[in-house]
Amino acid sequence: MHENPYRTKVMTMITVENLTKKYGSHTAVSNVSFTCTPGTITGFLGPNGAGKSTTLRMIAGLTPPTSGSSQIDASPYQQLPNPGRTVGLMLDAAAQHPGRTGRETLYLTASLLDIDRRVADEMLVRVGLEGAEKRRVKQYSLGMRQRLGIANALIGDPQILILDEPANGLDPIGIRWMRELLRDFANRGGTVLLSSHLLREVQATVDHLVMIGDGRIVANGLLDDLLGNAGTYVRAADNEAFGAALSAAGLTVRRNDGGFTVDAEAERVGRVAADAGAVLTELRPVGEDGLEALFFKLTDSDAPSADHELVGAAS
Amino acid sequence: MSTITTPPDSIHSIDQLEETIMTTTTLTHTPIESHGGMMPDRPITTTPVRPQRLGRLFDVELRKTVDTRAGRLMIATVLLLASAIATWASLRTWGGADNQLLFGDVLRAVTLPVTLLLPVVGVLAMTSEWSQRTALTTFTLSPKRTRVLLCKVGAALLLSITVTAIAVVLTFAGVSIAASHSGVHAGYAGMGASISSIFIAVCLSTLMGAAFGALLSITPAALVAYFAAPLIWSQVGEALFKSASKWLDITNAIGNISSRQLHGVWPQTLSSIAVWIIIPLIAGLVVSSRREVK
Repeated sequence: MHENPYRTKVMTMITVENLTKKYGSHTAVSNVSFTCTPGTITGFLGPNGAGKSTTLRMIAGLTPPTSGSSQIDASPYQQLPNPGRTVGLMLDAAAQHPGRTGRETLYLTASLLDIDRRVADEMLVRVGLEGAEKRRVKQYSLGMRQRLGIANALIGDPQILILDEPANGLDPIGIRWMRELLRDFANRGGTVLLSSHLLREVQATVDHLVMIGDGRIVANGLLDDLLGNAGTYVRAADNEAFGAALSAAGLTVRRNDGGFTVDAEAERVGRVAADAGAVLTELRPVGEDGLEALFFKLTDSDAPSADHELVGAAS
Repeated sequence: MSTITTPPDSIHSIDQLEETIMTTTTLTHTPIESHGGMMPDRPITTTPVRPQRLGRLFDVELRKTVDTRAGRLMIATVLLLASAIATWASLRTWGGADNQLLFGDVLRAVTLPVTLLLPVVGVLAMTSEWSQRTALTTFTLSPKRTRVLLCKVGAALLLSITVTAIAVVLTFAGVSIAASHSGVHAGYAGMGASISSIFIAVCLSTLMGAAFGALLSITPAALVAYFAAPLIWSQVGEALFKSASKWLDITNAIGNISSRQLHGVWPQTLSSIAVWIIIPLIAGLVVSSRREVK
């Protein structure tokens, strides 16, 4: 889907193997395994409290796993010589010192990563915070903090980006900017892992999907593969006649929202319409509905319990 | 082809329009420029990375103590109070009977606010990352937490020592000016002893502040514990254990060391220092290095 000429030149990937985290008798994350490869964007998707943040914190070495392990290439995160030069992290955009200016925040990171401070000023421009660099973070909106967090993650020129809910608080322009930035990063051979509960955002951004529910992985694969069999939505001027035509063509048809969901590609459905001389009023891949359906099917099988909320608050 | 498809409904059409724009811009836009003077669309590759240096970590931790308004305000307050007290003490001694202005007397007056406030620097150094939640960034950029925490203790100590040095210089200047303008004789006898005394008291108090901060991590709780616990012990301990409470009296112990009156009391002094400073500091470092970052 995305041409990536650099894929073979880099080897920096994230490997998560059987990560499990228990708090007392409660299991927050259970036996989670997946890999993120260079040149791809992996979306880590799940409802609140499913264990996304806990998993990301374990990968970043902040939370010791009960069992299992995770590696950046072949070494644990804690053993990277200067982690910010390999992995750009943003685990919580709100976790920035309100009394520091945006520029000072980046200066501190630049010093630690052994980078020229002028890079901090370049980064501020790059994330669209020019003019706000001398203001204290206290006066920043959540979207601005998100941009500062991204700058802080990118400043070390890392090969991997791990971002927890990067689209949070961004306006539509900001969301598109973030999407382009991540796509560009992956196209240049970088590895991206982002968590989100925004289905539309995930669908528009990621190549690879890891879906987690109740601490367990419920789906793991290429986005196109996971959604590929979701089918086509179609609506005709004369639905009854067209529905019969579709069935007659041997297609599986389900009535849906004033039209039909057909287990076939749009072209096949279009040809049936052409042959039947039907007037279509709508024809599109199920797409987002598919992700939503998948999401609910896989993560919401049992009603949300008080337990979910508890974990959500803790993570 | 005779198939007619109307445009998708409005919500989706905006979406798809945006998709179209997206695809076009993705294909034609100039890739986001990268820093370091490298090619804008250069591949992302691994470069050899040097391990993080301890000296750099220390610099960063020191900078963090003074790059916020709260940090600067703290230092300004200490220095303002020190100057005010130095002025007041100089003026008060000025008309004294023996017609002499003693540096040691003035510095002793300055010591009180300095040793009272500077330990707050120690407390804040260990608690602020947890209360502001910046620990998340700090400990992901530097996962070897013990190194970070030791740098914090060192930075707090260095800052306290620097501020104290400025306070001592201010006191010296105050005394000389007061003496030259009033014709009163300025006395500098025992100057070395009084200077070393204030430095020792400040260092021990700052370490104790850092210990309490590391142990409790919540700023108000650590501050209250730092100030109240020794006071409470001095009252309760004396009532319950009479003179045996001296073995755990930190205020006395710091006083003994800084005034170098250790003759016959050094075991009590050492045990107090161990219980109030050394043990809490080690425990605090262990607890902080294992605390889960939320």
